[in-house]
Amino acid sequence: MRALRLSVWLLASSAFAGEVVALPEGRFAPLFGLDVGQTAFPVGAFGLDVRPVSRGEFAEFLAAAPQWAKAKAPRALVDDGYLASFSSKQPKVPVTQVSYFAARAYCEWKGGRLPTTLEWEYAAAADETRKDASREADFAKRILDWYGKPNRADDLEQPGSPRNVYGVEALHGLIWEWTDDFNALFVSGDNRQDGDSNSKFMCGAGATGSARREDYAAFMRYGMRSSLTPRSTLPRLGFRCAYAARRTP
Amino acid sequence: MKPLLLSLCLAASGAAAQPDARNVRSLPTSWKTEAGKQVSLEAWKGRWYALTFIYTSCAGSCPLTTKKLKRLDAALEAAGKPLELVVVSLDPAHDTPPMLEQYRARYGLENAKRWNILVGDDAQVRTLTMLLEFKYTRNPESGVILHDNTVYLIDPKGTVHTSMSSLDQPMEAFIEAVPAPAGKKR
Repeated sequence: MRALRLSVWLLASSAFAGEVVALPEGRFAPLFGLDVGQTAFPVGAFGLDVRPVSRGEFAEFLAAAPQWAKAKAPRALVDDGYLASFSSKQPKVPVTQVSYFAARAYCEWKGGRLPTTLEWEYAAAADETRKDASREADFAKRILDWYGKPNRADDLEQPGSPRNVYGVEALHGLIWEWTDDFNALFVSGDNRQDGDSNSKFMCGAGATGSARREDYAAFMRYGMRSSLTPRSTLPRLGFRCAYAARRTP
Repeated sequence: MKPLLLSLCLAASGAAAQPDARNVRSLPTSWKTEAGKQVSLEAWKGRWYALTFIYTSCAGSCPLTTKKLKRLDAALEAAGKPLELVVVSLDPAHDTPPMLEQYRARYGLENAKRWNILVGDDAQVRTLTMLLEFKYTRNPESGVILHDNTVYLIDPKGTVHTSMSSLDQPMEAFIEAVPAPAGKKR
């Protein structure tokens, strides 16, 4: 099934208007969150940027919303690394070093929102031919090869993972991405202090308590997200936006 | 796999939040009071207050949170420094005015005038919880919400002054941190 491509979904006049694809509703078993007896969660239809938001797109946002400029953004909303290496050269490179709050403000400005973790994982479980390849050894290996690879200076110029069956690109192999509820895994202040509510995420506990032992790549992503605060910025952390499903013509 | 796991652990331990950076007024949020009045947290600007999150159909820790808030409320009054409590719903779709009324009745809060129960929408809840780094997640099938159990003491500027667990942590330090009202010496 080819996903319907809606390249003029929003802001078609923007010089760097990204493509948006429509993802169909479905069911997906995330690595974490299912209760005993639950096999999958329903995922509603939604729109998703084909690629992560680029520096060129973010520069347009900064022009429209100068309160988010590097020098102006309040330290309550961004950490000291915010946009530290940002330049308007290389406009097609994904924007990184943006906090959750900044990413969310961008998506709101675009008329969208950040994808939920469930939506992001739903989209990212697909490869070029399969909607859910997350249990497939070859798929996991390709992703883990990237996680295990040292960063190189030109990494952000790489294309990332190829267009998947939904029409979404670069969910793997390029950057980590913010999700709307990225911190929703730890439900206690600190699992070392507050008991064992998330002992599966004690360092070294491994992926044994999760839904799929073989999906170590997803385990890495959940661990990565859990290490962030909403103010965090990292050289390899960016985002893409999601949109409410629209009835297509 | 060992280097990967190690780096994950280092990343997790290095990301501790600076408490003084958390301010509930850093981004605007919009709420409805039980009387149906639109309100923002600017309404509490210039005052100390306690803030926490509940949802009325919560069968897990919320009854404990509510009982602890009642004890806190009474203890603060006894100490001569009563505090307004802002209790924000995590479940705006279900916490309708009748549900809030039932909630008050269930805990004997019909006349608890210092309690302000605020209901917004999911985006408002996400914004405010992120500003406080309060974590919650809803099971999309069962509707059960897993959440932190934290009560925050908010200062007149909107900054988190201190916080405590609404479950097992003693509340003496929290009460101690609340300043006596102006003109009253302890």
